[in-house]
This record gives sequence, C-alpha cells and structure tokens, in this order.
Amino acid sequence: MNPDGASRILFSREGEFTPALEEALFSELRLAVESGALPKNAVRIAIEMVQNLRLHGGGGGHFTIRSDAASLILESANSLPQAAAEELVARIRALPRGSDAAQAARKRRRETLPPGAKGAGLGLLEIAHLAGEMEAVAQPLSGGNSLLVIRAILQHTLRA
Amino acid sequence: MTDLELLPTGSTPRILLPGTAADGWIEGNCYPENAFAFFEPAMAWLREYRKASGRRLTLNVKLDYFNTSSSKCLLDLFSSLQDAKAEGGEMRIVWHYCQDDYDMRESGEEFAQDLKIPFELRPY
Repeated sequence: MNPDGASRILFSREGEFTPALEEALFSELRLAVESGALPKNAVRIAIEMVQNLRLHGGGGGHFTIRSDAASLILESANSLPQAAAEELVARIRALPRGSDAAQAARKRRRETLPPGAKGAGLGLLEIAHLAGEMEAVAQPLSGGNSLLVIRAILQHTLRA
Repeated sequence: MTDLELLPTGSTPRILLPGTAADGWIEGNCYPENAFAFFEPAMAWLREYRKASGRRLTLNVKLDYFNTSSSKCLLDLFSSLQDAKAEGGEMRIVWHYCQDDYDMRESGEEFAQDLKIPFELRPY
C-alpha cells in the first residue's frame, strides 16, 4: 500500500479486448493469485468483466484493477447509448447480492436461452455474488452516449 | 460412432468424447470467446451418441477454471447425458477437483444436486 493511502494501479488497459489479450490477462492474474498478491475471486470477476466488454461493449472499453488501503477495486467502463446504459445501471442496482446472487445464477443456469443469445446473463450475477460491493453509474458523454462504469470492490479482509 | 477430440488452448479445455465404450474427458481452463459455439460440437456429438445402441460413458471433468457461460454449457451437456441415461444408457460423471479448491468442489456439488445421474466428486 502507498503510505498516503492513495490507490495504486495494478492493471489498466484501454482499447479492444481480444481473446488473446484475455488469455494473457488470465495468466497474469493467476500468477498474482498464486503469489498471494490477489484474491482468487479477483480473477473470476476480471474475466467476467472483460468478457462483458468484449461481448456487449462493442469489443472495447477500459478495464482497471487498483488497490487502496482498504480494498481492491475492479472497474470496467465502456460507451453505450444513454438509454441502454441507464437500463443496465438500473438492472445492476436491482441485482441480488452475495449468496442470493449465487442462488439466482444457479436458477438462471437451468433456464433455456433464446436462440442466438450471446451469453447466459450470468456474468453480472457472478460479480454481484463475489464482490463485497458492486456499483454502476452512467456518465453522460457527447452524442447521446453514456459511459457505463461497473465497479466491483473486494475488501482486503475478504480475500478468497 | 466416431471419437470427438478438441485440443486445448489457453482458454478452452481438451474435450475427448469416445465413440467406443471408454472414458470421456473435459480438462483444462474453460472461458471460451463464445462458450455456446465452443460446446456445440460436443452437444452435436451427444445428440448422435444418444441414437446409438450400447451406450456406456463415464465423463471425467477436470477443470482448473470455468466462466459463467461455460457453467451453463456444462449443465446443458450434463443434462443431455442425463437424458441418455433415462433412455437406457449407462452414464456417469466424475467431477475431479483439487482438494484445496473449495469453489471447484462447491460447483461440483451444485451440479450433482441439479442432476439425476450418478455424479462422483473426486478430489486430487
């Protein structure tokens, strides 16, 4: 930790998230978990966030992992049409948390998906399950878009 | 019935589904670019397999990590095996997990609870 309590960037990437980049990120994070520098849940949250950026964020966005005195913060950000961003923010704020999110994910896993579905809709529930806190905001941009920022916060004391 | 073998990559597991009576395997990491597309050959293989006679398959699953989309695909795959068992086949699943990996054990327990097929949890 920094002595002044300021946050420290552990990983930051802005741009397109390709499968190759995802593999490199996964390997790097797994090494950090093995060395004890990151909790295991951080890898699971990171993969879900990056895959959401790739599948639903037009392939790109911004993904950051930073640490401060109390917590580890994983954050994704991508531009979306304002209405879509606001709808997602409302959806994320309404998600169950913790073990309730895990139960909801288990139930959804058993449901049949509509043809052509890009995902199972389980990624956000996984983040809500694993993160101590989960936040979402839509920051207005020019041109009718908003920046959707999703933040998962793991308390250092909650290391998995 | 021919074998299906998909070689592993950094983000996808090795999948071996044998046409003859033998063990099948899914092992490695599993967070494909598109989990539904990745698992489709295995689902198609199982659809054909269910039409064959004398079906007997033990599917060993030994994963280090899988993402949420893959968990959905795994459940669909296991459900197809369960259907094959209901149709008269001898089907079972062995879920291998590292004994220190609580999450992987818990995932196996959840699958076991959600399925009606012999499902063994085997630590290593």
